[in-house]
Amino acid sequence: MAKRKYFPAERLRDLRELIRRADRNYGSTIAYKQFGPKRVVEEYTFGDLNNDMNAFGTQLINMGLKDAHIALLGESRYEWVISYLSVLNGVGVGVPLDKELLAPDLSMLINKSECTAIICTAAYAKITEEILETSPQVKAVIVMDPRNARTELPESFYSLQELIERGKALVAEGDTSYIDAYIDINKMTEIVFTSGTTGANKGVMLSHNNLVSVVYSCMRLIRPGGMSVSVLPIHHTYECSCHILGSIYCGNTVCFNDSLKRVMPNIAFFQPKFSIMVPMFPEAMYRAIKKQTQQSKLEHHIAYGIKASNILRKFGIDRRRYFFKPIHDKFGGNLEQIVCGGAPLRRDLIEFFDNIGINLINGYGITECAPLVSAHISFDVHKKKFGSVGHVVPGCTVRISNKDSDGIGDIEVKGDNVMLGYYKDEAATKASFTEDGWFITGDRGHLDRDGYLYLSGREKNLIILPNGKNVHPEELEEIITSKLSYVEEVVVFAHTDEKGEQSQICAAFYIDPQWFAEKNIADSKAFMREEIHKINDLLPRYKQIADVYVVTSEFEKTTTKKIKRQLVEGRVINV
Amino acid sequence: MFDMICNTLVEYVDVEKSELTRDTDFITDLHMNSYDFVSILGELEDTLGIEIPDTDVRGLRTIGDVEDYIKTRIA
Repeated sequence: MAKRKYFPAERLRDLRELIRRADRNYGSTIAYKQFGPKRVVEEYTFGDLNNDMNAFGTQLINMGLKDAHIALLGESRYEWVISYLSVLNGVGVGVPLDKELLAPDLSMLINKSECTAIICTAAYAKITEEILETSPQVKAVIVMDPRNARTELPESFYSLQELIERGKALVAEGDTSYIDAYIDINKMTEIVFTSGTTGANKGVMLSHNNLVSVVYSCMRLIRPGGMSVSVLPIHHTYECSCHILGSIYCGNTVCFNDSLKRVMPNIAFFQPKFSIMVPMFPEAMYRAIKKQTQQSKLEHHIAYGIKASNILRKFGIDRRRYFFKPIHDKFGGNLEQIVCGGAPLRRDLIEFFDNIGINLINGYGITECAPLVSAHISFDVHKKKFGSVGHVVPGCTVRISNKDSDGIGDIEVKGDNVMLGYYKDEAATKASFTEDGWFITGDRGHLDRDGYLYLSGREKNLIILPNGKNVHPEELEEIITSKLSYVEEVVVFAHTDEKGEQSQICAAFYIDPQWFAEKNIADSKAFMREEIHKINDLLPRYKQIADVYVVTSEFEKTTTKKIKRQLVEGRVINV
Repeated sequence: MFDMICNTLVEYVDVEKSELTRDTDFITDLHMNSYDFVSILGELEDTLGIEIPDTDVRGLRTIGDVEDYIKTRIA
C-alpha cells in the first residue's frame, strides 16, 4: 500500500480545548457570519465564541441545569453553536433535534432522551409550546433569538442574550463553576437520534473523545481554505462535527445560509471557498449551469473549453478558473471545494465539477461514527478513485466481514469515533457490535489495496434520498396501514432513475378490486392519490409520498410470506 | 398571481403551463424535491418582495395553496 500523505493536525483532548485553542490562535478572526434583521450581516469572532460560551454555560449551571439533558431546536445560527458548545463543555448533555419533525415526534424524542430544558430559535417557539403539553418534565425554555419572534413569546421563556449577560456578570465576579468544570471525555455528552422509524429512533450517545476524533480526522484530510457556507441542517453530525467543529479548529469563517430558499443567492453573496453538502445541491447547481448554457447556446463552448483545459492540465497548466469564470461567478467566484456525502454521488457530477475547477470530495459516514469513516483528500485529485467514498480516515479502522466471492462484505468500524452505544437501549447497542467490539454499519462494500472504501449497498430496504435523508419504508407502510384500513398490502419504495439514483418516494398498493367496486370508485389510482394526502399531512416533507400505484393482485412473496420488494418497482412501472 | 407562479414553476419542472391548475400538487403531481420547491418560493419572495417563513412552507401543498398564501402576505 502506498504511503499516504495527510495534512498535519493536532489531536485535542476535548471540545473546550478546541474553543480555547481557537480563541488563542484566531481570537479576532470572524468565526461566523449570518443575516440579522433587514438582512444586515452580523459577525462574531472566535473570541466572542469563547466568551459567550463561558457566560452562557455559567448561567445555565446557575439556573440549576448542571447535568441536565438539553434539547436544541432551530435553524442554523451563531446562537445554536453557542448553545450546543455551552451545554457540551461543562453543563450537561446536548440533544440536537431535527427541526423538520412535527411536535408529537419532537416531544417523543425529548421524552425519550429525558430532556428537562429546550433551547430553541424564535421560529420554533410555537412548536415548543405544543411540545410542552406532552413533555411536562421540561422546566426551562430558552429562545436563541427572541428579536426574531413574529408573535409574543410566553413570559416564562428566557432570552439567550439576557442569560449570556447574566453569565458574564457571574464570570466577572469569579464564578468558575463552568469554566473549570471537569469534562470526562469518555462520558456521554450528546445524544443524536438516528432517522429510524418513529418511535424506534435510536439515541446515539457520543462523547468528547468521539467528536474530537472526527475533528482530527477531518483536518488531516480536508483543508477548507478560509470561508465556507453552511447549508445543511446543523443538528446532524455531518454538518455539526465535520463543518462547524472542523471550522473552529482551523479558524475558518462559516457563513450561515438563512433558508433553503436562498442557498444559491447566499453562496453568491458570501463568496465561499468551501462548503459541505449532500448530492442534492451539486445536482441542482449542475442543472442550473446546464440550463443557462443551453439558453445562452454556449454548450459547445463549454464542452470545447473542458477539452482544451484538460489537455493543458496534462502539462501542469491549470486554467480552469479562467476558462470557466462565468460559471464560478454564479457561485461567488471563489468556490474550490465541496465535501459531499450522505447519499451516493454520481461520477458524472464529480467529473463535471472537476473539469470546471471545483473539487467535489466524496465521503462516507454514519451517525454512530460521529460521523466520519472515510473521505477523499483535499486537492488529491490525481489519486481520486471514482466510485469510492475515499480513504478510511486516520484514527479509524474498517474491516470487511462475511465477504462474498467478489470480496464484498459487511463494513465494520473500530476507532475513537465509534459511539458509546444507544441511549437506554442495551439490546440495540449489543446488536450493533460484533463480539470482538467492531461496530456493524449495516452497509456492504469492499476495500481496495490502497485502503479506499467502496460501497455496494445499504441495509435491507433503507431509502437514501439525494438530500442525504434516510427513510425507512417500513415506517411509512405502518402509518399507511394504520390510517387506511382497507389497504391489504402496501410497499413503499424509492423510484430509481436511469442513473441508478433513488429519487422520489412511491407507494404501491394492493387493494381488493371488489372494495373499489363496492364504493363505486372507477379510477383507483386517482382515489389513492387523494388518500395519500392524508398520510403526507402526517409526515415531514422529505418523507412524503410522491407517487402511487395500485395493483389488482397480491405482491409476490417468499416462502416465508415476505413481499419480494425488489420485484415491486418493476411490476408497477410496467402496469 | 396564478400565472406568475406557473411561469416560475416551469423553470424548474418539465411540465406544460397548460397542465397546471390550482389543484396541482407539488409532490404527488409534479414530483418536486424539497429543494426545488423552496427555490421556487425563494424566487417568488424576491419577485414580490415578501417573506415566506420556513415554518409556513409545510402547509403549501398545491399551487392554489401558494396563491392563497401569497395573497394574504401581500394584503
